[in-house]
Order: sequence, then C-alpha cells, then structure tokens
Amino acid sequence: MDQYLPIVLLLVVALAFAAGSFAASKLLGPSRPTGAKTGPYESGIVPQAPVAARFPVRFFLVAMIFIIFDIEVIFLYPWAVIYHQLNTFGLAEMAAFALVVFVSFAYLVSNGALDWGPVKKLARKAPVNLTRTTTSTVRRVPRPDQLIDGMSPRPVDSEPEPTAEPVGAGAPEA
Amino acid sequence: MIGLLSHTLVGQTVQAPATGCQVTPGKVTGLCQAFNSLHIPVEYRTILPLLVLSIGALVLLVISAVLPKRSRPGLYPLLTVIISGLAAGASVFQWIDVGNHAATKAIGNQIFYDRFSVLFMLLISVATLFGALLSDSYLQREGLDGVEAYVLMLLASTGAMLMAASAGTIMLFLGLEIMSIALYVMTAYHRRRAASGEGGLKYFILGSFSSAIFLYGAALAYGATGTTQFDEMSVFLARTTLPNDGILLGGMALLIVGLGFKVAAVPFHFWSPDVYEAAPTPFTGYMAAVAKAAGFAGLFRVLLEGFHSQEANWRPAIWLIAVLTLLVGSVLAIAQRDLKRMMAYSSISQAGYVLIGLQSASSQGTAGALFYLLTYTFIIAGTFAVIGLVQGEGEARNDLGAIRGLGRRRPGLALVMLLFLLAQAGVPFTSGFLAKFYVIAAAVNRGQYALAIIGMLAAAIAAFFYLRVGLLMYSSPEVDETKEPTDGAALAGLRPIPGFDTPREPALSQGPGAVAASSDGDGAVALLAPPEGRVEIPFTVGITLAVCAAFTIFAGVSSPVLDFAKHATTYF
Amino acid sequence: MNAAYIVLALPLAGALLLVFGGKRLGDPLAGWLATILSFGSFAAVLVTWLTLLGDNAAGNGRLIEKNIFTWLPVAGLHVNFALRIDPLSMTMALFVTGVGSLIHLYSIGYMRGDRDYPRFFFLLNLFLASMIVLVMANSYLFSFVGWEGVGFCSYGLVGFWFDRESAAVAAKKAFVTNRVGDFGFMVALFLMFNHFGSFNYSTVLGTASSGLLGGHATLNGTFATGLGLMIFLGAAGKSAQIPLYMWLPDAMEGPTPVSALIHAATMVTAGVYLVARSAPILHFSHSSQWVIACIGAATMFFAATIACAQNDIKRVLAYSTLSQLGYMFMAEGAGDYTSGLYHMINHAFFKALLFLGAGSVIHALHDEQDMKKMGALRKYLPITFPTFIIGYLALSGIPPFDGFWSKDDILASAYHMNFFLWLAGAVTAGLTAYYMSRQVALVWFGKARWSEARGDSAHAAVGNDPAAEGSTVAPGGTGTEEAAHAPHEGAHGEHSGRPHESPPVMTLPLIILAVLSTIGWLINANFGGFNHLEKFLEPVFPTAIAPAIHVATNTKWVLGIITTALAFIGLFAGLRTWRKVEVPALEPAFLAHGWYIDEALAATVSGPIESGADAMAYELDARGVDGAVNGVASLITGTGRQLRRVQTGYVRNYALGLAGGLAVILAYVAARVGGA
Repeated sequence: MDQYLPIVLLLVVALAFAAGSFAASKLLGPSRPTGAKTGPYESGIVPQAPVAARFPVRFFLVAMIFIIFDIEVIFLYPWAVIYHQLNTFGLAEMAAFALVVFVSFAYLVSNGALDWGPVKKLARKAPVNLTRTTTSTVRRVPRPDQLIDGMSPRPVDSEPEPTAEPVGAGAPEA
Repeated sequence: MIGLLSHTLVGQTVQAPATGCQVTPGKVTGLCQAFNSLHIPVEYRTILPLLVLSIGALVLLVISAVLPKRSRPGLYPLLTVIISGLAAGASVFQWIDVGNHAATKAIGNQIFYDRFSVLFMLLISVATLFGALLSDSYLQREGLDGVEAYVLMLLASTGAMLMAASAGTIMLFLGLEIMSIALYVMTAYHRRRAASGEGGLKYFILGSFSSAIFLYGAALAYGATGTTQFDEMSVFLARTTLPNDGILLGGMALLIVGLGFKVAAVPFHFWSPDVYEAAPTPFTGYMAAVAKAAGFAGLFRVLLEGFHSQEANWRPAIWLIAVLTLLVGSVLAIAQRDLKRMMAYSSISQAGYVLIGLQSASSQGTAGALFYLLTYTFIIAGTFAVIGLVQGEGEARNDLGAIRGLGRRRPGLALVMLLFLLAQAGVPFTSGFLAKFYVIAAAVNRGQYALAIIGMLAAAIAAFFYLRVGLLMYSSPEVDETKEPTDGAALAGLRPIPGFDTPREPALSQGPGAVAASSDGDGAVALLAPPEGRVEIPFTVGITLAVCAAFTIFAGVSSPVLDFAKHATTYF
Repeated sequence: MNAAYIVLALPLAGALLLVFGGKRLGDPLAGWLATILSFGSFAAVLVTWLTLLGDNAAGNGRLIEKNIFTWLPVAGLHVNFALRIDPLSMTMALFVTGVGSLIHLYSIGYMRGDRDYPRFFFLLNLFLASMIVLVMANSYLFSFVGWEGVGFCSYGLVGFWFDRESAAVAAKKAFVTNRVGDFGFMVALFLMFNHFGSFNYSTVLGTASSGLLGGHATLNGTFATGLGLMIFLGAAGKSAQIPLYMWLPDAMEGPTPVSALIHAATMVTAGVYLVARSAPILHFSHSSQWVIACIGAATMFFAATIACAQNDIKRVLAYSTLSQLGYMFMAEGAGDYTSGLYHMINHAFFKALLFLGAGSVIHALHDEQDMKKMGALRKYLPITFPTFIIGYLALSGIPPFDGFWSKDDILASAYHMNFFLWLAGAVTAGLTAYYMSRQVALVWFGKARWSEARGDSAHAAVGNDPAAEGSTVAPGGTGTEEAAHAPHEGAHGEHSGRPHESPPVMTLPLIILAVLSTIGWLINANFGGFNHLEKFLEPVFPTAIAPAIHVATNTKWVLGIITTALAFIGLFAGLRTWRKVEVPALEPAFLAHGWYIDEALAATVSGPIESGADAMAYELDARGVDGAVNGVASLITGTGRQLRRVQTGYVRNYALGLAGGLAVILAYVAARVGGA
C-alpha cells in the first residue's frame, strides 16, 4: 500500500496548488467593479440574454500546441524506465523522435504561432476577386413577377422533367 | 506495453511470459522480445522509400522555417518531386533486392518486405510525384502555395506505404492514421472555399468512425487469435478449429468495414463524393490514387494473408460489397452534373473492379487488381489534371458545362482527356481495358460468372457518362438558348449551386430531400456556357499529362506492366 | 530488313500529318506530301524486296517476320502484330505501292481546286497504309485490321463528295455489301481459331516449304470446304464477285483516281490475295475450288455482257473490272494461283491506266461522263489518246501487251480444269474486245458530239442514259462529278469549252503505266524462261499445294490462237459498229440495265420485304428494341436520381449509412458463426 503514497501526495499537492492560486488571485488582485465595467458592450444596447465571452483564438492554438509537446514528454516516461536496457539504440531512437518534434517546433516558431505580441497578419491577404460582388455572392430568389419569360414557377423540390435533358449530353431517353 | 510498464514501475522482476517466445540471433518472435533482447534489428533498406519520404517531409519543414516566407515559389514542389523521385528509385532498388533475396519480415516482424509492398511503394511514390507536379500550378493559381501542402502529401504517402508494408494490424492502423490525418487536412486545405473546410470536417468525423471500427476489429481479431501479426494469424487459424468463431468473424467484418471505408466501397462510400468535390482538385486526384491503393493493400493483407483460411466466410461478403460498389457507383455517376462528383462516383465504381480481383482470392485476381490500381493511378492523375485546368480560378466551374467545347478550345487537351475517359470506360488499346479484362477473367476462372457479368454490365452503364463527357468536349461551345435552365436549382438564372450537399438555406429548400435534389448534381439540368478565355496548360501539368497518357496507351497494348503486377503476387 | 517498318510507317505518318495539319498545308502541298511519302514507301518495298531476293531461299523458304508489337498476352492467345515478308506479300506490296504512288501523283492534278483537297490525300494515304497492313500482315487477324481499314477508306472515298446524295448512297451500299463479305471472313476467323488455335499464317498454313497445315498433314475435307467457302465469301465481298458485286459499279461515284486505285488496281484485288494466301486450305477442298472457279467464270461473263451496253465511261470500266476479277478467281479456282496473281498485276497496270485516261477525258470535257457525248477526242488529247489505246489493247488481250499473256495462262489452266470454263473465258475475251472497242470508238473516233452537248444543257440528256436511269442509286449518270468539280474548272481558268490535255502530273503516270502495260510480259511470259514470277512465288505455292498444270504445248497454241482470234473479231466488230457518224442505239435494254438485277432486287425489296423491314424499323425497333434500350437507360437514370437522395449532405445520415452497412455485414457474419 505504501507504494501508492507518493501518488496520493502528488494529488494533494496539485489540488492545493490550484486552490492556492485561486485564493491568491482573489486576495491579491484589485477588484473595483462598477456597473459599466461588468456589463457587456453590445453596440450600446442592453443585452437581453447572457452573451458569449470574447476570447482570443490564440489561446486555442497554444492549448493545442501544448498538447502536442506534452505528448512528447509522456513518451519520454516509458523510455526513461527501460533506458538502461535499450542502451545507445534507445538513445538514438529517442533523439530521432525528439528531432522530429523539434522540427515541428521550429516550424511553429517560424510561422509565428508562439508570437504573443501585437497580432501579426499570418495569412497573406486574399487576392481581391473582382467577380465577387453582391450579385454573385447573394443568392436571389425571383419573385413570380420577375420570372424569366416562359418559365413557370416551380417548387424547388420538384423533379425536373426528363425532357429537360442537357444539350449534347447524350440523353439516354433520346 | 501497459502491463509491462506497471510491472517495472513497482520494481519487480518479471519472467518472460511463456507464450511462444523464441529468440534466435537476429530473429525474435512472440510477445516477450522486449525483455530478452531490447535491441531490435532495424533493416533500414526494407523501409527505404518510407524513410526517404518522411525525412524529406522534415527537410521541407526545416527549409521553410529557415527561409523567409514565400521566397521561392517553385522550390517546394521541386523538392517534393525530387524526394518522391528518390523514393521511386529506392522502390526500384528494393524490387531488385527482393528479387535477389527472398521476401522477409523485418523490423521486429512488423514489416513485410516483399514485392507486394514494393509495388505499392513504387505506385505511391509515382502518385506523389504527379501530385506535386499538379499541385504547383493549382496552388499558385489559388494563392495557397506554401510548404504545408507538400509536407502533408509526403506524410500521407508515408502512411500509405506503411499500410502496404504492414505485417500486422498494429502497423496497418498506424499507417492508416498517418495517412488519414494528413488527408483530412489536405481536404480542408483550400481556406477560402467554404466547401473545402466542410468536406474536411466530414471526412474527419466519418474517418474517425471508421478508424475506431477498424481498431475494434483488430482488437477482436487479436482476442480470437492471440496475435496481431497476419502470418501468425494465418498459421493459427490453419492449425486451430475455434469452438466459437463469433469473435473472429466479428473482428473480420469490422476490419473489412474499416478498410472498406478507405477504399470507398458501397455502403461505406458516402463521404467520397463530398470529399472529392471539396478537396483541391490535384489533391483529389492524389487521394483517389493513393488512399485507394493503400486501402486495398490493407484489405489484401488482412483478407488474403491473415484470414486466408476464412476464405469461405469473407468471399460472399466481398461479393456483395463488390456488386453494390459497381452498380451504385456507375448508376449514381450518371446523375451527376459536377465533374468532380462524377469522378468520385466513377472512382467508387472502379474500386468495384479491384474488389472483383480481391474476391477471386487467386494470384490471378491479385495480379489483376494490382495492375488495375497501377494503371488507375496514371489515369486518375491525368483526369484530375485536366479538370484542374478547366475549372478555372477558385474552382469556379466544376460543372459539366465547363468542359464543353474543349475539343475546339484545346484540341490536344481534349484528346488526352478523351483517352483517359476511354481508358476508364475500358475501351481496348487502353490500359483500362486490360485491367478490367484481367479482373473479370480472374472472376470467371474462379467460377464467379454472376460477378463477372455484373462487372461488365456496370462497365456498360459507366460507359454512358464517360462518353457523355467525351461528347460534351466535342460539342459546340455555344449554349442553346432554347434549352436554358428549367429546373429548380438553376431557376434563378444564376450559377446553379455547385453540387455540394450542405443544406445552405433550410428555410428555402423545404427539407433535406429537396436540398439533395437541388444540390447533389442533377442529371437533367441545362448546361451552362463554357467559361471564356483560354485554358493555359502549365509546363508541369503538361508533362504529367503526357506521361500519364503515354503510360495508359503503353500499358494497354503491351505486357511489361502486367508482368510487373504478376510478379508482385509471388508472396501469396 | 527494317525497311519493312518504313513501308508501313510512311503512309501512316502521312495520314497522321494530313489529318492534323492538312488544312495548313493546303492545296497542292498536301498532295505532294502524300505523294512523296507514298513513293518513299514504294522505295522501301523495293529495298525490302531486294533484301528478300538476296536472302537465299534455302533455309527459311524466303520468309521473314518482323514483329511490331504483341497485344493481349492472355492465356493461350498471343496476338502478335507483325509484318510477314515473303514472295507473295512482296509481290502485292510492290504493285500496291507502285501503282498507288502513280495514282497519288495523278491526283495532285486531278483534285486541284477541290475544297476538301487535304481530306482526299489523308484518305488516300490511310488507304495505302491499310492496304499494306492487309497484304503484309503475318496473321489473318492483322490482315483483317487492314481489310476493315481499306473498307473504311473506300467508304470515305466513294462518298468523298458526300453532299451529293448519290455518292453518299453509293458509299453506304459499298460498305454494307462489304459487311456481308466481312461476316464470312469473321466466321472463317472463328473457325480457324477453333481448329488451329491461332490466326498466324505460319501456324495456320504451315511453312511454305513443308506445306503442312497447323501440324496436320491433312485437313478434314468438310472443314476445309467450310473454311474455304467462308474465306471466299469474304473475298467475294471485297472483290465484288457474284452475288456481292452490286456495289462496285455504283462506287464509280467516287473521284476517278479513287476508282483507279481502289476499285480497279488494289483494294478489289484483296480478295484475290486472300484466296491465294489460303491456297493450302483450298488444297484440301476440291469442292470449294470448284465453287470459286464457277463463280469467277459466271461473274466474268455476266459483267462483260453488261459492259457492252453501258454509256458511262467509268461504268464500262467498272463492269470490265468485275469481269477481269472473275478471270482471276477462275484461275485460282483452277489451282493456277500464279496466273491469277500475274493477271492481277497486269490488270492493275492497264486498268489503272484506263481509269486515269478516262479521268483525263472527264477532266478535259469538264466532267462529262457520257460516252455518247464524246467522240473525236484523239486530236485534242495527244498524250492521253495513245496511252489509252495501249491500255485498251492490253485489256482486249492483243499480243504483245501484257493482258494477253496472263489471260492466255488463265485460259489454259481453265481448259485443264474444264472445257466449259475455258469456253466462257474465250467468249468473254471476245466480248471484252468488243466493249472496249465500242468505248474507244465512241470516245476517240467518230464525230465530235461534245460541243453541242456542252452547248445545250448537259442535263437535258440525262434521260438518254439507260444505265444511269436504271440504276437504283445513281439517278444521273451524266455529269456526276460536275457539282463537286465546279471549283476545279475555275482553277483552270481556260473554260473555253474546248477539250484540253491534262497537266504533266496527270499525264506522266499515264505514260509510265502505258510503258508497264507494254512490257508486262517481262514479268511472267510463258516462254523462253521469262517465268520470273512463277519462280519467285514457288516457295508460297509449292507443288504440294498447287500442283503444276500440264497442258500440251500444241493445245496451248491452239487455245491461244482461238482466243486471240475471238478477241480480234470482237475488236473489229466493235470498231466497225461504233465508229459511225450517227451513233446507233444498239444496246439491248436487258444488258444496259445489268440484267435487271438491281430492278429485280428493288422490286423484291420494295415489296413484302421492305414493308416487313419498315415494320421492323418503325414498329419493332422503335417501340420494342429502342423502347427496351431507352427504358433500361431511363430506368438507370431514374434509379440514379432516386438513389442520389440518399446523399443528403448531412454527416449524421452518412454515419447512419456506414453503420447500416456495418450492421448488414455483422448480421451476415452472425449467420455464419459456428456454421461452415
């Protein structure tokens, strides 16, 4: 039983640390709320329902990167346990593994994934597409009086008639 | 491994379990190896193409991190071409090497080093090479160029090769995941196309499903046989009569489903039209070749290696899947008006023929299937290369109308496209004909007349939509005004919704059925006018097209490629 | 020996170049390109032939095979596409490319100004390539590829002026009739594969030296008869023998060089070649030899009678071609293959000469084809006239021109087989001399009838032409090339109404062919050791297959003298009758209408058969068959549309499908658990 004691201890320390952090920030941080400060800003309109908190997307990125590198560390545990039996072979393999992860780290850094300063434009600006105007991006539904001549208004879900086979498409019914 | 860890943690000395642990110099079998000899021999030459590709991917990443952003537009594709070329060279070396020595198992018995895997390594290297050549101009046109596409492609190929070379379900699963995750990202690569992201997500969700199913199947098979290695499974099953084979057969069924998803066999194909349409066009071509080949490599390994003695049990199941795949693929392709979706269904139907080869469970069938996959790689790369050219910037035009009148605008391009279409339809003097011929011959030789006839019927049905595209290319580019759009989708007189299956505006479309009717490509829809302007053929695409076309004819009129495929079945 | 590949490659390359770049080359460059490549091919044949001669006959029986590629290496069946170089194929290739090249040259001038000039030469080159495949292939199957190729080119060239209905109909008729023959050929192929397991000439026919068939020392007589007759049916279709002859006269709708090349010199002799090639098979079937000889004799006589009453200059020659092909088949039926082939070569020379001469006349008279509107042209066409006369004498069998020698050989062999065959041949020889004299008299001598005919409307006289009138296809025998040749006249500019000699590119081939027709006896005259062809072909027709035919020398003399006398009688009768100032209307309507065969057919077909066919076409086919086909098609399309609804776009539905499939497979597995 005594071999589980360190684990229990670790649990306790972890919980204590978390609780201590909360308590410390509550105690040490200044807190002078006013109505205007706590109320969410919604274009000057008083919100009717609770709104989503604004949250930089960068946090997600960091969280994901953290998981990846965390897994690397986890892999080190079993390796460390049988390190002696594995010998230099194991060392080399682990070096290769670490190198792979390091390369991805270098890639992340070079892409600015870990930059925490003023937001840098990551993606290249999309080329201006002159064809994208409101006429091409907004889907219009014709009113009955706007129908193109000769066309009967049809419900969207009706099956097209088989005679409306495309020109030159080698219609099998032909 | 978990058990092993916990034992060691508590500091006890554990005896090697007595389950057939045998240690001879350089060769270890059984579960116990870690204890007796932790020095696992690694024969690097057996995974040479894999190493080339994965190291190449890393090198690309490092270069991109070191160089300033977008310094050299053509550098990454060039490096990718070199890397995949090296991998192809390595495969050729392996082919000779295996020929000189016998086929072996390597790297802790996790890798099969035989001509079957080498053929796939070569196939995948070549497909990667084409993928890189085609992606270059496409990505530049779409403003997406960067190192990521090529790294992902190389990694996906690494996974695919691992699948082909795997000697057990564990390695197969690893390969499957490496490949799939890269493919999910590749599908969603086009950042500015909403469809692309959506398709990627669909692929990811459904792919995770199938991976889980596969993994469960592997677990059941392990439970029934006590091993994850195909050869040991086969030996065990041949020696032992199980009192209750429920677990074994259940595992087999789940493995079939998991891999059947990857090759887009009906009814596990639903993802494929959406994903094919969503993915950037050159990636679609790459996916159609590589993912399908790797999936089939896995299926062959599992069914013909591991479950060889269970032939009587899996052949009827594969029979059914093959029939469904052939018919549903061909019939649904007819109803498409989107080129990429049509090719997706066409590719489903083509997978049916490979399944025929698998179903015959003979070396002739395997040879036919390998030949099929080999030739299909070239055909599909060429087809998607042409589609990538005609669709225009932003994949604006994927509808059938885009290819109309191509025969007038670019006669050479139209001719090459016609060749690929005819090859897929199985017209003599193209590789497609011989490929279909061999798998059907294999089915006939095993007495599977019904399957052979259905295969031929499906080819007849499929010929319709291939020839329709062929006709469209040579029909006049002017739109007949009298046949303007009359159906619901094109009612607005604007572009029809590009056949994507998302319910865009539920309020408007009155239920999912209506959405499908208006968006999943409709056979009876007036075609739009072909796009204006000249189709430019970039150099890289031109080279690819020429090579693919030449190979399609070469493999269709002569025998070396077939002999190549025949040699790759020697392991079985 | 690799020149053999060049033989085939050059015209093929020409066809490819012309189909893609013909428009750019235009008129007359396209023609020159085709002609040069054609002559190159001829040169390559010469080189190949000389190599074959140098290659001593001892070991291999003068046989070389050059593989092109292997197709379909499927269990048991290895289809090698290879070129077979042996005396027979070389003989064929030599005259095919030789005469073909001359006609190419001639066409440069003749087709001048036609709006589809490049297309003409594309088809001509493609034809040449197909013909080379036909004669040089190493297997029946590969020959069949060429066989169909020449059929297609013939179709394309007969219907070259496809905007004219008669041409389109004639092309269709030629093609459909040929299909009947092709059916026979295909059945022969199937039989052959079933029996020998191969299509290769070497395997099927055995090596020339051993004379064994596919390892069988003998062949079952019934089987050999069946096979031989099927091969002959194919040959009869291509070579226009009874009963498949109707298409050839109508095929004269094509441009005249086409008539000369395809419908006189080369393509129609493909049947003769095929029968000669199959000699080892026929050797085992006496009855099929009889059938071939009798049908040949019947066609020979029948066509000659019709030729006596035709007014269209080309139709006379067309019926004459039928008749001469009949001679060749009669020789082959009698087992005298060498004479048949010899006559074929000679015929190629003089008939091409006559056709080209006729073309020159038509050209000079601005597309007039009715002989009754010609006359006295000898003064206006100083080069065409003497060459035409040489062709005329050669065809009529007047010594020393080449036609005499081969005809003499054939008749001797026919006499050896049966007296009546000889009799028919001799009478036909007289008839031949008669109708050719009639033609010569009408065209070259007598009073010039063309000036007034051209002065009036050329079309007013259409009704005078019974042959054209009677024909079911060609409503206007006169001026048939007129419409399409309109630009042709413009190109010459000197539209004075006066006949004029053709340009040198057209007269040069005439002169060469005339010389060849004169010295044709050098090839295989049956005296003084001139039998080169016979010696050359010896390895192909060893005595084991074609026993030597011994006719006593005295008998030969007597037969030769009788035949020549008959020919002279016909000659003088024809010239005397038709040289008059006022042309008599002597043609029996029975002959002018080609024994009313077309009419009889038309009556039968338009009667019950046609209404039956209508019923088939409009009722059974449109409703029943098409209905079934379309029904299946729309069923599939409809199914597709319905199935498409499954593809909703919702991931949940896709996952459900996946799970459904899994459930089905699991259910199946569950059913099998504990079972087998």
